[in-house]
Amino acid sequence: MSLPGRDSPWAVGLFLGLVGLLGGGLMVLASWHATPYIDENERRYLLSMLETVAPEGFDNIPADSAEFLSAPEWFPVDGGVTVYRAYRDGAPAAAIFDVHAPDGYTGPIRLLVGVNARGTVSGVRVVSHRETPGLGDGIEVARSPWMLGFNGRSRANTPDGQWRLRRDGGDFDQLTGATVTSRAVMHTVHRTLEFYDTYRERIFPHGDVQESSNDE
Amino acid sequence: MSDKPNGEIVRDGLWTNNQALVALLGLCPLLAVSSTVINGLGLGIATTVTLVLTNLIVAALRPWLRKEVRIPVFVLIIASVVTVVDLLMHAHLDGLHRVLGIFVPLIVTNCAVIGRAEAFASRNGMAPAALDGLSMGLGFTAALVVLGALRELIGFGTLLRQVELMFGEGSRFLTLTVFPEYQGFLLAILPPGAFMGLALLIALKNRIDHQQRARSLQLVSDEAVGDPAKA
Repeated sequence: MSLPGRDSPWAVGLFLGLVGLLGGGLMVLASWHATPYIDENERRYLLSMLETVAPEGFDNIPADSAEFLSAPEWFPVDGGVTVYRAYRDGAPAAAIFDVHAPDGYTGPIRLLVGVNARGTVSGVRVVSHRETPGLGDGIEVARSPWMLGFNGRSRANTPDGQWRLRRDGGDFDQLTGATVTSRAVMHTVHRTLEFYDTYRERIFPHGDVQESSNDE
Repeated sequence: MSDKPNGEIVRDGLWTNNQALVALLGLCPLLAVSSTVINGLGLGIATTVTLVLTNLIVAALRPWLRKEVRIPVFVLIIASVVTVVDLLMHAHLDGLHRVLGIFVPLIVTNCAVIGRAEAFASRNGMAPAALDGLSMGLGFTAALVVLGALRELIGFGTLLRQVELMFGEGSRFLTLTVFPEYQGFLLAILPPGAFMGLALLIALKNRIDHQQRARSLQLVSDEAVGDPAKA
């Protein structure tokens, strides 16, 4: 035995504690190094997603205008919705909603829904989901253009009664083999448009939005 | 035990005692992530880095390691190292981290890591332990990449899709479309495809081993020129 008493429970416990401290120290160092990069990555990812759903030509940084609007009856998963605003020359260009479709096939589907100032969909992208690979994951634009079918839709050109899949007598194609997923995404896009129409003066309080007919 | 020649350590890790194909350890990440080559390569590299680091640390602490607390010590070390690897990947390989998702932190549950700590690193010096970690990791990576290639080829008809997640936008040209206009074959990408692919790989490895053994036996019996039944 090179070290006196190193088999005593105290020495063993001390050793265990030191290993814990070593591990903890390593993690603190790594976290200290990684956190700024991770924050920057998250921000850049969100920003790139925001850019793909907003109409072209906005000149602010939408991520800086984030605001959480509490509306549990509209968006049950988060109890509300985070909205990002895009402006062009100071006038509202689009509102981008970070929403969850609550009724995906395997849990909620997180979406970014871009709505331009006049209440027309400018783009929808999935942020995260757990839908079936090969079927429901067609909601990713990398795999299927289905999501692009929402572009240009509004409650003006598609009456509320037509926001259904074709098989249900509505106006929307579905992803083959992914009826539940398609329906969940479509309903959430519709709901987001309704939300925007209802609260557009809350979302763009100082904006000169044309034809704001809905007051609440 | 501790004076195993380096060549044997490498051969063990890559082939004879391949953690995925022989020890059948780490199946959860193996089966879940091996749907494409790039996913497999990413998890394989992360696992290899983890194995080398945990083996190194365990071997370095060996003089003070007491039998009674070795498992908690291994768990502490592995959990810390995996957290560090996860943080670094999240910081510097964000796209790949997004794809691998939960499976990077789950390296902590890969039995191969604690298995090597217990079976090798805690009984050897730092240099052989690091070599063992590297070999075992590379063997695991090779199994992941081959299984990934098999599943990707059958499932998507491509090789190295989403290569840009790992090597940047400039590497997109590396993606090979083997079967153009391929509609995809879902079974290969879903979990059953992973089991079938793994079974095929194990069968293939056993066949190669079997043939090699038969060949060496043949040599022996040729030399003996005796009764082959007694060989």
